[in-house]
Amino acid sequence: MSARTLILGISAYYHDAAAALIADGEIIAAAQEERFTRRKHDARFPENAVRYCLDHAGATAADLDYVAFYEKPLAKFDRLVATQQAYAPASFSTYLKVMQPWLHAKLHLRRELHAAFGGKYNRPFVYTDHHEAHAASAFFPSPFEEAAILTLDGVGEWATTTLGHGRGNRVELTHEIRFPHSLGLLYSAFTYYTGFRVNSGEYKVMGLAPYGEPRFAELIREHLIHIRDDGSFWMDQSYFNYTTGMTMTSDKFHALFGGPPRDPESKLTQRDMDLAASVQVVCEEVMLKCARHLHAITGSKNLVMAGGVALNCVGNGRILRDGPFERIWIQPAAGDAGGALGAALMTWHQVLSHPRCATPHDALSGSYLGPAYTDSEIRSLLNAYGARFHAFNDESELLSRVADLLAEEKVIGWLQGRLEFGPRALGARSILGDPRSAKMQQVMNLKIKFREGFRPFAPSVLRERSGEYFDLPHDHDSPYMLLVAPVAPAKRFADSDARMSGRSGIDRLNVTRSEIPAVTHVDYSARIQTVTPETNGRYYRLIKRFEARTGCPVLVNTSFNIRGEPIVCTPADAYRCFMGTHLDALVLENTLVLKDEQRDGTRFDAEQYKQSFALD
Amino acid sequence: MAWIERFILIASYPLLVAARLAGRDPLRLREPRGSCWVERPARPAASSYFYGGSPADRVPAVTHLLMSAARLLQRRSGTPPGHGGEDIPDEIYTLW
Repeated sequence: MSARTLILGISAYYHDAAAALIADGEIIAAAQEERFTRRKHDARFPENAVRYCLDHAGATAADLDYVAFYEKPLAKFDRLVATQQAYAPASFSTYLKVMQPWLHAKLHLRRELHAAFGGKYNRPFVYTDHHEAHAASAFFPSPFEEAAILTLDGVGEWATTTLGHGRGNRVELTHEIRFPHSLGLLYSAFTYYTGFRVNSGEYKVMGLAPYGEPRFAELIREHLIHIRDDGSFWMDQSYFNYTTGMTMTSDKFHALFGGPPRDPESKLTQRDMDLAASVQVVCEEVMLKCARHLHAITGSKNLVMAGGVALNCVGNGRILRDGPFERIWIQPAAGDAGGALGAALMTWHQVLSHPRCATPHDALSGSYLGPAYTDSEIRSLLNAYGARFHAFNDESELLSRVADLLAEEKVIGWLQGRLEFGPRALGARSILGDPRSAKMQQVMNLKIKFREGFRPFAPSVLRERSGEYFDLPHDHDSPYMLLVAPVAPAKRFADSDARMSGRSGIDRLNVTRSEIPAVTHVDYSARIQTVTPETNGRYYRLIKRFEARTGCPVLVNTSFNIRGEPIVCTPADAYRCFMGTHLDALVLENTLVLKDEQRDGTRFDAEQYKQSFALD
Repeated sequence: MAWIERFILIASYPLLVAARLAGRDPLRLREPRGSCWVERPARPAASSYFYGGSPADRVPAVTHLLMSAARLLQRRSGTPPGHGGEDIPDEIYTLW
């Protein structure tokens, strides 16, 4: 039994179920259920993530002092009833459908939670408000003693957007916008309309936007969302169908934009790109206005953000560049998974009133909060698979070898240390490549990730040299890859604009635009991760070695998975992904596996591997 | 869906229709004139984070009635827990 107060936070039953464990307020473990079950956005009770957190602490469910759930189910149920009431009698068929999960499970959450712990946890359950959990996940681990708080997502109980302020061990949300008026749902409506999957395709819309022109933005402002100067907004529900139907958009929406939604997987047209550009522009406008209003009412120099919309790193970059705040910190698990962490921290600081001390970097340990694996576990696994591998005792030799491979344009699967918490791979479960290579983006998208060719890749850059390569305002850090900024003009090719003229849409991708073309989007933007030795020592040293070899302090860093697959967790997941794709090499801690050294019989069929995951 | 569930839902629906006729607009379907920000209540007490202690748990009568019916149904039928809603698209399911 632990002498420390253990609080387990849980998010579950909607999407991205997760668990997070804090001990006397210190964040010691957090993980998303999907990483263990290999089912993307798994919403079921996070039993594997809970088990991992408890094992990591050497505790059992009986040792927990509190279990905190990331939202208040009764308030959510009230929203459901109020919505069905508002649309009665037209809502009747929807009412019959959406009430079922509530009658079966959601209204019996205490019972469900008790059952999930096998009756071993008999202390109180704490229920935080959904946006309070987001706010807590953003403020409490941040490096700020005080900060303005902005949360934006699809919807929690009633709120979809909140403004607030944090100081010391307190967060207070003062204003909100309520369902069905939701920036997150507006973005999701366009995700649906452009043929992508809601709750995972929003990244794709954001990545598609730079290929388009925002020619529909005025139409969106005029008909769909009326935006006030203070960042608040109202949405005309006649264009949407999510309150009463089973789709995001209504026929009136389709008529306004000239046709039905794009069929998933059909060819993308310039119109789709223009729609993406348009909703992105509107989203940024709302985010920026909210930030300005929040600054005006709080007077703070610091801003913290969370909620699914805070994963819109282009919008975040815009707030940093054009907004009033000097420093911004964004929770890396900004979506619902982070609610687990927020609920636990909210319980410790706000419910139990324990003090908080802001730390200079942040309290999140680089978001490396998941499981790690030993060399002996890894080598046993590789032996069991019959793999040929190189075991290194000297890190320096390993890093030199990997840097050489990268410089030869090899693509490498990289697993080291604890798994990341949140949707971004930050150098613990990453696929790495040479950003100077003109062919790298196409190779990685089509032959390794098996995903759409238009999607951009992100750079990891040594913190001390980020200013040479990227125009991050105020020389700002971006440790969690949540800020987009332009590639520095000095690194762009002077003639690339001329070479791009006359080309449109995805064709512009074929023009090499900078010294680091693999991570330079068509609008010269890049989603940046600044890497420091304090947060990820080995990854930093690898980039340093690559810099010594090539002069370039940047690597391409994308998540270690294929389309539809959760990011790999274990060495076995990594090995399967390596053998099922065209990755050239795999690094598992101190072990290197080279594809061309493997026996033919040990390789997996790429097509079969691809088909084992549903497309997202 | 079990007949008893269906019965409860169908029987309760007229209450929703009646509540609508009372004219509340909790969804703000009519556009407000000025700012759309809604002030949140003052910082909640610590007790509000525990079951039944939150003002948010004190729901309107219609909601309360439906909750009671659901719990009664659960006790009487002993239906094994199951989440239901499998035929609802993910993007809609996550809203409710």
